[in-house]
Amino acid sequence: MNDGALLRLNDVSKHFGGLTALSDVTFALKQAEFLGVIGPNGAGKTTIFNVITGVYPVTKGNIFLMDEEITHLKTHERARKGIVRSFQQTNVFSKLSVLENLLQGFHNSFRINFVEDFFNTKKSRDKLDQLKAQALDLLRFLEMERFRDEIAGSLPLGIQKKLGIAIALAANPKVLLLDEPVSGLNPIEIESVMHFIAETVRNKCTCVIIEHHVKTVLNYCDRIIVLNFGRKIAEGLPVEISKNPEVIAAYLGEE
Amino acid sequence: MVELLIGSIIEGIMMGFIYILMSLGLTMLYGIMHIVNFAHGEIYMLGAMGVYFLSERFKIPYFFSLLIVAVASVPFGLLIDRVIFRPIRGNWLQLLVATVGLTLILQSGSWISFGILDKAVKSPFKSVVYFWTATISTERLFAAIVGALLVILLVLLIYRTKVGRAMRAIEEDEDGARLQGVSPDTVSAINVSIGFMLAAIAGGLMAPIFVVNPGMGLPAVLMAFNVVIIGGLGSVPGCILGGLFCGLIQTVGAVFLGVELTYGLLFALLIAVLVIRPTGLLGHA
Amino acid sequence: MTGLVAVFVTLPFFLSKGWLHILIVMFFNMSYAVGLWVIMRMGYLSFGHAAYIGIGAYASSMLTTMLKVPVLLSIPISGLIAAVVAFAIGKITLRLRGIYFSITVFAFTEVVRTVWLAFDNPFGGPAGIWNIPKPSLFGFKFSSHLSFYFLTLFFFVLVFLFLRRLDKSHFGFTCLSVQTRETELLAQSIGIDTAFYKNMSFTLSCLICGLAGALYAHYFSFVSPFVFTFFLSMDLIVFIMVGGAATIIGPIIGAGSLTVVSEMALAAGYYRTLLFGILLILVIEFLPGGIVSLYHKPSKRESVGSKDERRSTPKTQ
Repeated sequence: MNDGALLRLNDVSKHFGGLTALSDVTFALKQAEFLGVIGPNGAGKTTIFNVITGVYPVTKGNIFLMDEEITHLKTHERARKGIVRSFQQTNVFSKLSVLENLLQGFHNSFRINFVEDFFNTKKSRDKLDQLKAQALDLLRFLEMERFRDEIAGSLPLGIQKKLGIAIALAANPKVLLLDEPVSGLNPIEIESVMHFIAETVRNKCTCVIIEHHVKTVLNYCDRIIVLNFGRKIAEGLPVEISKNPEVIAAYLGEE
Repeated sequence: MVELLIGSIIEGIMMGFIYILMSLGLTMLYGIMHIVNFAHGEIYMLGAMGVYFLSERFKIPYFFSLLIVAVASVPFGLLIDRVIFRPIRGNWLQLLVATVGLTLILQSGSWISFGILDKAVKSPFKSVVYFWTATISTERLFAAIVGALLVILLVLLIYRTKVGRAMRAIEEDEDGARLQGVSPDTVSAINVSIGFMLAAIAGGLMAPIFVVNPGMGLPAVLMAFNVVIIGGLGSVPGCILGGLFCGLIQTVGAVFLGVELTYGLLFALLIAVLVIRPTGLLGHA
Repeated sequence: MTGLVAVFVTLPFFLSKGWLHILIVMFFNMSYAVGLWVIMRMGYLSFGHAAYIGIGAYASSMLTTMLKVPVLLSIPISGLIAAVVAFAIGKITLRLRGIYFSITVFAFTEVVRTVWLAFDNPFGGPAGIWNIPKPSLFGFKFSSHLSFYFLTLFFFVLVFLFLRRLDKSHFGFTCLSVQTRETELLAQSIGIDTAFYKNMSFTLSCLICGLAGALYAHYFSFVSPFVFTFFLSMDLIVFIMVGGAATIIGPIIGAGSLTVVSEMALAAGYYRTLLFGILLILVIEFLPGGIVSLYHKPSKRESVGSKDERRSTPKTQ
């Protein structure tokens, strides 16, 4: 079964009543690779993420994280096992400060029972200090320390996007699913965030990115999967994909 | 037994149209403007109160009273839309709380103005109607017919007129519609007025049938929400389906379970719908 | 803070019975309000919290009058009963969002009230339950206004301290991640079991209201279905919105000021409701953050439900 694949989807289908969003999608994600998922509008890219994270249950098929089947686990259970996702729209807690946002991200690392937490025991306080230190470290590493007490919702969009990714990183992911992380940004911001992902983030975990802008994905990803009408129509290296006639047809059809 | 059943089914369909009338304004206002109007029941109550006031105090014949109430509800709706809804449009929580405030004002205001005694509106009809073996109250038949007519008119409005097209445009994509020159303010005003008018007419129609008092708005709005949630919040066809469904459940259920338990049944159904298919039978996702 | 407590401890000796009554009612209202606030700040607007106040009240009334359970024991038990009911209802309704949640809990309140109204035995039907005993501790009976004042003050302070500690704990911090459907999804995606936090918060919220309701029953010596109505549920919402929904101080200020104001204006019954309705609309239109927003910077944890949020969709996971 396991050939070193970190995440594996087997014949995954998702139907919404009469609508087929995904149809027999199979692929495997290898450790440490940077995978891109592209496809025209409505191809099923976000649905794939929703299915992997458990926001939608599958209609058919299985999902495996390493050797473990996770097809029926809830979203937060999958996140605890290492599948973390950032969102396109709401990817930060806009009413909390940057530091607080990161602290939420470190939730997975805080393992204290309710009683000790409530009575603020030494163990609990030490743990919380530890988390705060980790959060500050991460902030420093991301060179975002000066934003630490800013309310996330008031930050410029590019910084917010970076924060969204940082929160996901704090959750200690094995697989990080990035849902259109640069949407709405100007070209300079796009380069900054993509650079951040390609140089830093992908070294900490295996990344999968959904992106609208094909060129971006071709430039940064190791391998690409193309979806159209819920089916996987191509899979391979960027250079192969850019020449694939079916892929080109799918995108031209969108024009 | 069969006669009882036939009678209750006919009654159920009639109640269904009345429920549809009561609930259409609510579902439209949510579907198009994303306003959840909790005060909907109070408008219904004011319609009934208005008819009572005009017909019993001023001796205006029932049908004219109903007409006056229907017409008066439009400027009232415009006022509420302009003063209360428009400044906070977009924030669903604030809108909801504002309509709660409106409910409190309208209901308590009515209790204070009209007193706590139940009111009765004399029916304009003198006889009953016979249908097969069933006896049907003429008031309910009239209400059902008016309800059905208004539903048809409304459907025509939404799907066949420019105004309706504007409303559907706003419903689908507000920004896009705005670019096309459709003003959300105008659509909102029209929407609210129609909603208020429908609720007021429903109240006026119910006045000779049920007891009239300032507290009748709450069970009405609860029923309207029941209908709209089961049918699908925001969907006009869903509202029609939901209304008929609830009407039938209520009357047929009363035959087998008694009136109290049918409320429990409806509540259980509401929960069931919300758990299994929260967008309702025909609702938007 | 301790200064305030000192004031409230010494004050009653100078006050008339009438004023003591007002303050007692004020502490009840504050307790209900902070109770509701626990779940409201997670984006769940409950139109039916009166049900839990009532369940606590009825439970304690029945335990003390029919089963002769000592009052100070029956109050916590009644609170627990309200909490258990809330837990069950929460399991079903918390998966819903926005208006769906509000309407469902409102419908539940009406169902409960219908049950109380319909059954003369054991709920007393429309007449309710009378002659509910006053609490007693080691032979001392809390029958005077003064003694009950301290009891209520003590209860409220306990609730406040508990909630404030909860707010500062990691549990309370994590609850901040659940405010809208979108932030809830985000929280789940980083491993937070939001269903657990919502359920716990809702249960806690109703526990507080149930306990307060139980104590209330023993103060007024009488409960009926006409007390725990939609209007009571709305009172709580008005308290929170007028005071400010952002912090725990908001509901306290809202409940405190509105109780005193409405008593002083001799506004009772429907006049009070009218006043509250007008205040609610004024606050929503002109001061959505409530009274506290006049002192705090509005940017932090402002009103839920703002423009950039999606419309109220029915279900989360």
